[in-house]
Amino acid sequence: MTHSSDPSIVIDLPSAKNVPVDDLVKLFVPTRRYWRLLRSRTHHLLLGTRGSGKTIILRMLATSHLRRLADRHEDARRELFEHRRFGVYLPLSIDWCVALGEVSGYNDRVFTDGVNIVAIQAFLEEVEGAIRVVASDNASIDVSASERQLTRQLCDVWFEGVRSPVHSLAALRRLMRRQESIFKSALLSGNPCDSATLREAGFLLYSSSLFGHVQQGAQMANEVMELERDHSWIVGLDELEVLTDTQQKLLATVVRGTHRPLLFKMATLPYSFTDMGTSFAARARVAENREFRTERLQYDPGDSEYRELVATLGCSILRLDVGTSAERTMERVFGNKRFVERAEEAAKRYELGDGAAEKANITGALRAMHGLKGDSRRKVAPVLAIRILRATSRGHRRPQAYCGWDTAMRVSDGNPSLFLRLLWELDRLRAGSECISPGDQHAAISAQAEHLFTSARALYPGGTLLQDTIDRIGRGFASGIHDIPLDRIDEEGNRFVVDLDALSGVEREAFQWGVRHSLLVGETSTSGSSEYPVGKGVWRLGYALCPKYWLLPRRGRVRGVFQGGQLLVAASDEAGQQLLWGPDSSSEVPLDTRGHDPAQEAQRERGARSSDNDAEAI
Amino acid sequence: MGSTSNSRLSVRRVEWCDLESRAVDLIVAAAGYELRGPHVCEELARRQDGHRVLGSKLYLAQFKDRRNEDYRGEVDRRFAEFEPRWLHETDGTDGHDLVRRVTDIVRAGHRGSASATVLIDYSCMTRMMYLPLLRLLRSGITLLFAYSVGYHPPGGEHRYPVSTVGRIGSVPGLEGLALPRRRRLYVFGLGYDDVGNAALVERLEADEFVCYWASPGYAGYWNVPDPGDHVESINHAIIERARYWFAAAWDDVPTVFRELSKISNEVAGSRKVVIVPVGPKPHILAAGLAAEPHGHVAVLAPHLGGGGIRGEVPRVEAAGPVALQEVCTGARLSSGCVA
Repeated sequence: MTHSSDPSIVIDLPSAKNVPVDDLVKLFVPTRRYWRLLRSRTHHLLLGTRGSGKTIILRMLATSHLRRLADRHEDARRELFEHRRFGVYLPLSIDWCVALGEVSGYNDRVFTDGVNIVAIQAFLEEVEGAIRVVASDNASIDVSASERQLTRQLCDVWFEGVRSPVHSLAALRRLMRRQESIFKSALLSGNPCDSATLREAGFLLYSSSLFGHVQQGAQMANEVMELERDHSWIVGLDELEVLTDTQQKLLATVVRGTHRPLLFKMATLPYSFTDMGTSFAARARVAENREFRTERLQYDPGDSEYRELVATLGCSILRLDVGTSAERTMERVFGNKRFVERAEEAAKRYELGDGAAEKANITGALRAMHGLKGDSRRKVAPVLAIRILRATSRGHRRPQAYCGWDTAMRVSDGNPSLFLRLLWELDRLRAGSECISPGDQHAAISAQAEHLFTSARALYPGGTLLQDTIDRIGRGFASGIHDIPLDRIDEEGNRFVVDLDALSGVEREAFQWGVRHSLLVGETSTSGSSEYPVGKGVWRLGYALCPKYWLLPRRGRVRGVFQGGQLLVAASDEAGQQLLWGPDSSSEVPLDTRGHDPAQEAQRERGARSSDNDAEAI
Repeated sequence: MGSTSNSRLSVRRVEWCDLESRAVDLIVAAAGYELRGPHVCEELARRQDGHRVLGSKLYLAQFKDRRNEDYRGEVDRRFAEFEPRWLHETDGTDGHDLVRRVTDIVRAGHRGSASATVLIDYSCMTRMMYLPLLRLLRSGITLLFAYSVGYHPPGGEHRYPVSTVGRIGSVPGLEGLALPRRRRLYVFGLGYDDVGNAALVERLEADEFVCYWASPGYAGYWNVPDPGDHVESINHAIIERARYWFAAAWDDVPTVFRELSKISNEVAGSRKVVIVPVGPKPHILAAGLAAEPHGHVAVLAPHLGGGGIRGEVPRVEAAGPVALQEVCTGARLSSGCVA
C-alpha cells in the first residue's frame, strides 16, 4: 500500500462551493450584477455555465459572507448595516431528499419536507449574524435575549412538543440536524408521509409548504430585530439542475406565489430550467413571469469589469501584490505583446529555419499583412498573423503562438473558472516564477483545449456526438482560416446559426451539454433574447477549445445556417467559400441583420476597435 | 490486513472453512445475466446442506431485463434448482425496497433478530441493491458478504468502450446529512478508464479529493491483461491533483474500510465526505461500510453509461475465488479461521 507524501505538488483549484468563507471574501470582486441582485426586490433566475460565477454570487449574498465583505468594502457595509440586506444560501443538491423524492411510492411531501429541514438549518445559521448586525447599532436589542426569544417563538410554530427546552439558536440547529437524521431514516424504514410513523420515530417538525418554515422564521426574526415584519430576506437557491421536472415545477409554483419577506435568487445551468411550467397553470412558464427575472451570467472576455475580476483572482491565487491595478500586474506576468507583433517576430526568427514552402508561405503572409491599411488591416491582419504563427510553430520546439494576457483572457471565454484551470495547468508546467514564459503559456493553453475536447466524450451518455460535433465545427473554421487564398480572406469567423428546434433530440442534447461545459456558446437567440437560444440562434465554438484547431477567433460573421435535421460535413458554396453546414447552408447572414441586441453588438464593435492595437481581444 | 474495526463496525475477511460450520439464517442473491450468479449458492450448498435446504432460506432478486438472453436462461435454471423461497423482481435501483423486505423476513423468522446472520452474495447486484442492505447492521444483524470473481473470456476488451458519466445518484441510506455549508471532500475509487474518471471529477466539480484504487487487480483470474494493475499510470493526471491516495488489493476490504474511516474521522468536524467508488465491488462495499456509521459521509453511485457492455453480452463465468467478508456491529466477530 502506498500513500501520497508530497503535498507541495498540490495546487489549489478552488471550486466556488468549496472555497472557505475567508478565502471567498478575499477572492470575490463585487460586480455590477452582484450589487443589482443584492438590491433588487424581485425574484431572479441566474443561468450560467459551469464556473461562470453563479455559486459565488449566491454565496456572497448570504449574511455571513456579507458581514465579512463589509469589513473591507464600504458599499457592502452600507447594504448590510443601513439597508439590512440579509440572505441565506441553500444548495439544492440535497442528495437524500432529491434522490428519494423521485422514487415511486413517495411523493412531493418528501421533497418539500426534506428541503424545508435543510433550509431551516441554513436560515438558523444566518439569523444569528443578522441579530448581531442589528444589535451593533440598536442599543435596545440584546443579542442573547433576542436569540432566546426567537428560539422560543420558532419552537412554538415549527415543532409539535419539543421534550427538552431549547434556549439558543445553536441548540435549535442541533435539534434540526437530529430531525434530519430521523426523517432520513424514516424514508428507508417506512412511509415517510405517514405522520403517525414519523411522530413515533421522534420527528417533531410540523409540515408546511415549501419554504413555509423559513418564511415564518424570517417574519419572526424581523419582529425580534424591530424591523418591518415583511422586511426582505434573500434566499439563494443553487443547483436547480439537480431537481427532477416535478420538483422544479413545485419550486416554480412556490416561487411565483411567494412574496415578501422571501426573495428568491436562483441559479442553474442553461437548458435545465427554462421551460418548466408550474403546477397551477400548465402553460405558464417561469420565464414569462414579470416578477421573475431571468439573467444570463456570461461575461464578454473583453469586458473591463470581467478582466479586472479575473486579474484580481489571478493575483490572489498566484499571491502577487496587486499594486495599482490587478490587470497591469497580470499583464506583467503573462506579457502583452500584440498578436501581430508576435507574428512579425516569429517570422523573423523563422528565417534561420528550413522549409522552403513554409518560408514562402510566411513571407507571403507577412508581406500581405504589411500591405494592409485601415479597415482591411483590422479585419484581415489577425488571420494572417495566425497563419504566420501556425507555420513558425512547426519549426519551433517551444511554440509561442498562444501567449499573452489578452490571449489568456480570450481562452477564459468570460468564465472565471476556465482562467483558474489555466493557472492550474501553468503551475504544473512552471516553477513559481513571476513571469510565465510564452512557451509554457502555449503548452498550457493547448493542453487545456485538448483536455476539454477529450473529456467532452465522457461528460454524458451521448458525449461522442458532442465531441464529433465540436470536431467538425473546429475543423471547418480552421480550414476557413488556414486554407483560403490570401486574396479571398475576408475576416476571421467563428459563428454559425443553429436552429435547435430543427435538430433531433440527441443533437439538441449535444448542443445543450456543450453549452453547460463551455465547449459551445449559444451567443444570442435570433429573436433578440439575450438568454440562451431556444430555437434559432447564433452559436460559436468555446474560445478555450479553439486552440486545438489553431484558431483564436476575433469577432467573425455568421458562416452558415443549419437547416436540416442532421449535422453535415463542411461544404463549399458557389463562390468557393468554406461553410460548416451544407448543402442548404449557403446563406451567409451578417449578425446585424438578425435582430440581436444592438447594445451587445456596439460593445463588440468597441472591443474590436480597441483591439486594433491588440488583435486578440474582441 | 485481515480484520479491522471502528467504534461501530467490525470487518474481517473470512474463508469458506468459516462458513462450513456456520448457521446462516438468510441468503440474499441476485439473478442477472452473468453465469457466475449462482456460483456462491452452489458452493455453499455443496459445503453445507444441499440445494433444498439452502433454497429454503434463499431470497432471490431477479433482474427484469434481458430475460430472453441465453445466458440469463441458464442462470435462472440453475437458481431454480434451489427452489428459492422468496422471489422478487428488480430493476436494480430499488435497494430501499429490498432492505424493507429483507428486514421483514429476518424479523418474522427471528424473534430476537440480533443474533441473525444474513449472507449477501453481491456478485451480480448493483451497488444500489447491496449497499442499502448495510442498514441491517443497525438491527444488530451480522452480514456475510460474498463476491465471486468473474472470468472474462479473452478478446472481449473491445466491448468495453470509454465510460460516459450518466446520472449520478446517491445510495439510499448512505446519502449523509445535507450539511450545506460544509466543504466537500471527494474520495474517488478509481476505475481504469481515465477519460471517464476525469469526466466524473469534472461533473462533480471536485476541487479537493482523495483517490484510491485496486492494486493488485483481478489479473490472476482474467485471461486478458488486467488494466486494473496499471490504474496509477492510467489515472496519472487525476492522482497528481489528489490530496492523498492509497491502493489496496482488489479484495482487501478491511484496509480500504480502515483508510476511508480514517479520512472520514479526520475531517469529521469540517467537511462533508463524498465517496464516489468506481473500482472493484469489494472496494465499493468498503466505501459503504466506511460511510454507514457517519452522518457527514455519503456514497454516490455514478451511472457510467458507455462503460458498460457494448452489443453482445460477454460470457462471464465464475473464475473460482470468492471474496468473503464478515461485518457486524461492535466487536462481535465470531471465532474461526481468519484469513
